[in-house]
Amino acid sequence: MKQNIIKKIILLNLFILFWSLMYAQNAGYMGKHLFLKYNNYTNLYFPKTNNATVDYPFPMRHNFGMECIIHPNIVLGGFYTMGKTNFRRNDDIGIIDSQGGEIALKFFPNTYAPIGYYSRIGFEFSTSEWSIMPYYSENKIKGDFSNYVASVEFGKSGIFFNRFTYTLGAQYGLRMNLTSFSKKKSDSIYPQTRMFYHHLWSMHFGIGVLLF
Amino acid sequence: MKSYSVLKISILIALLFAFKWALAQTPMDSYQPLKPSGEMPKVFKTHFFNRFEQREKELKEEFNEKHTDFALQSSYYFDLLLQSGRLIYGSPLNKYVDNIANEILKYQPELHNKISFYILRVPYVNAFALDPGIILVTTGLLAKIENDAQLAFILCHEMIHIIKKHNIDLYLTKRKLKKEQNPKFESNIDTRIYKYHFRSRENENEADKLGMEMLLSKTDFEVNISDGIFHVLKYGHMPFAEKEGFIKQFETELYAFPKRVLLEKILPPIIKEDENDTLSTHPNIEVRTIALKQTAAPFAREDRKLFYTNVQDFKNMQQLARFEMIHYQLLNHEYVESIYNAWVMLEEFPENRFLQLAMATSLYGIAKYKTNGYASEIILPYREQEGEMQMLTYFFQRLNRLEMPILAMKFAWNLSQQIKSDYLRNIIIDLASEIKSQNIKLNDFSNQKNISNVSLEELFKGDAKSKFKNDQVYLSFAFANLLDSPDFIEVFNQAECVKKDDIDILQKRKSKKVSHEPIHKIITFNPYYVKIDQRRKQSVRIMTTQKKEIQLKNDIVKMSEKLKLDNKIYTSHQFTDGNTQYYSDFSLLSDWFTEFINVNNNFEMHYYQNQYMDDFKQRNSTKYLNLIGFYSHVSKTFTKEGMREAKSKLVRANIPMLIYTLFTPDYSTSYQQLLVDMETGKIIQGNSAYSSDNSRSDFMNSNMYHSLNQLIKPK
Repeated sequence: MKQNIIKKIILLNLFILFWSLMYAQNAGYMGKHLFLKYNNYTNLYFPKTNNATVDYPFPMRHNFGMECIIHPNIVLGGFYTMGKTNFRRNDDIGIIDSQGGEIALKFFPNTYAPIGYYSRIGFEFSTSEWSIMPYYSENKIKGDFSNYVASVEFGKSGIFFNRFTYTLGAQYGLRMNLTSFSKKKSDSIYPQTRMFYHHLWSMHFGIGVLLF
Repeated sequence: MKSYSVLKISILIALLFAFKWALAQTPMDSYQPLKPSGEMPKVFKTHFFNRFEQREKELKEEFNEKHTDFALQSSYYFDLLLQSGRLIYGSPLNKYVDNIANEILKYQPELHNKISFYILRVPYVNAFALDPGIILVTTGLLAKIENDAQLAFILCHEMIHIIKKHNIDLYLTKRKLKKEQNPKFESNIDTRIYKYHFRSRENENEADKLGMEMLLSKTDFEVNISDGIFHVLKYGHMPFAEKEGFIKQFETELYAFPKRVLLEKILPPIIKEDENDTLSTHPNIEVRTIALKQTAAPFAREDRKLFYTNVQDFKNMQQLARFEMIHYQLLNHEYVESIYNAWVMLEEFPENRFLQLAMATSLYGIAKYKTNGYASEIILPYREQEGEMQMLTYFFQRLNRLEMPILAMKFAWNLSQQIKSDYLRNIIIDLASEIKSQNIKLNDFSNQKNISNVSLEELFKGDAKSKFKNDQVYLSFAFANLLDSPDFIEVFNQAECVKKDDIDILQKRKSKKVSHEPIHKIITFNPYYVKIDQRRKQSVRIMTTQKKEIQLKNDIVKMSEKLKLDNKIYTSHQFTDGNTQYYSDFSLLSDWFTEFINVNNNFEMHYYQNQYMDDFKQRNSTKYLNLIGFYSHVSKTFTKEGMREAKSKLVRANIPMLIYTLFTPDYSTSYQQLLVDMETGKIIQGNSAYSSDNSRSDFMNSNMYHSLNQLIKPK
């Protein structure tokens, strides 16, 4: 599964590279169109339990990839995404480990990309592996599921030292496979519900380097 | 013997012709706008930072205090004048002023070394002293003074300001007054203003007294000049002379203006000599005149003179300055003033090409503004005018949007029969377009050449087809002598084609897309950066402005190299090279730019200054001028706007943003870039951007790079 995801990410990045060469006609930032980027999405999670404590009170999603200026006001990005978070089932705390890919478009309505205020729309596909050790058992319960997340983001980005880029923003995501609201209850309902909230709101900090 | 006589007569005739030609060829016949020449003075070559540091050091030595603000402001002020391109050295006017200054300072070589004199090409009647030892004389003053002695006194007056260090005295007075805190008696600002102005008037009186003493003790110039000087200063805004008959010159037997455009009575100029000077930096004229006469009286002598060498030298100088003034008025679209001044001067130079073209240009300019509905931008209310200018202003106000282009075209056409000029032909075609756009055709004009016992009423009796009714009937005869001319008919017909092209171009301009061909060679004129900080008393952040401007220039050079764009930059920061040709080109571009910013954006017209740009365009082999700059603004935290914004954030319960808004200043940076075709004055590419940030380099670089890239790769 992981290999599949990595293949997809490589293909996506090759596609972005192709776009960057195709759209070299537009100026980019001082002639540079392609960025290597790391994004960090953080939210808060402090569940109240009697038995356990959370490992990740500030769960993060790490996002590595490339961004390309395809239009004076638009940036296309493709990312490999990974992250861990806890979830709560009754008084127990479990772990969810997710990996996947994301494709996103950033729009800079009033300024040339990638400087100034932007709106971003993204679509993420990831798989999550979860596990939990219930207090009544010595065996871990495990499972996995997929996530399809559509997100919007508002923020600001800029360039410093003519070489590096920074991004600050707030992301609002909607996990499309809304299992948590289905009537059919299963063990994975808890981690999936958590994933729904995990994507619902995050603070975004990103940093990158201009390649060419 | 006979052949010898024929030879003698031939030589005599040839000599007579040569003499006549020499008389006719006054320096003004080949008038060209003033240019700097010779070696660039040191003060022009010294960069702002060096000038500032040097001055700070001198002040420290002299006053034991750096007086940084004063050094900064005075250096920056001089820099702004340099950036205007209107400071001139080495011209005939400079030589004239230098000669007078040499005469005054011939026994004071040390003082002479400390003071330098330059010409400022503006029409305002003024002279002023700049720290540390620069005296500027305006072309407006040189155009209005009546003799050398008057200029000599004015120079002496300004020299006293320098000798007595009045500039820094006023700065120190201002600083002292600011520090004075006496809430009971002197806390209100008015008291401080009164005190400041009182000090300034004291300085002026001292400069008057000591200046006159200096003049009369060191030179043989005339004593009785006070009345003339202050008359010149007081009435500097008036035309060169009061002369009647301006309107009559355009009239013929049939083409005579109706009464509605003629002002019956002209009010005489208002004389205000004994004004209350409490709120003025200068004492009133009456007081100054009396004081000067008293100072001058003991020096009275019979052998004193008004002129340094001879009257003709003075007249040549004055005429050149007057031509300069008309030139500036044309650039500034002060058409009513320029046409009257040109007409007054035509009495002395009836065949002068520049003056005649100046009249045609003025009429063309008024007609263009009039036909496009913007006449009030260039014609002031006639009641605010004095003397003959009142008649002129009334006349141009009353002529309607059809009468004005017809008058302008009639004049320009007649002139084109004497002067061959592409510019003149272009404005004729443009004027014909304006006439035709009002649905007037050549058939609407009559070719009746004189009245010959037929009255106007009879001529038009029963002519129901005529478009000119009532008191506009006279317009029918505007082109009476020209309707038989095939050339005139051709030009009139040609106008239609030009008009159609113009409409196409206007339609293209409305489109948002850039539609020019790739451009690989441009000229960038004076890229600017201004930082205004409203939180400070001295709102212009001079050091930041200067540093950023240098950075801006370097960035443009780098970007142009990267984009392989041939971009020649004209900036005041390059004057350090001491290249007079570069400065002269900068000055020429500055004139073009003056006209460009004065042109109304709602219609197109031919640029007057283009007549002088051919050589420049040829040397630089491009007609594209790039204008680029940034304006950065910082305002106080608790402004009304800021509070309003904060309140709106409170409503949204956005507390962190509310706190941020309340306790941080409001920043904004705006960017503007225009690419202009110098031949037509048309903007062929424009970019602007706004950021609510402090002027960040990424915002600046990104916008500049996109604009330059757009030149090479238009969409």
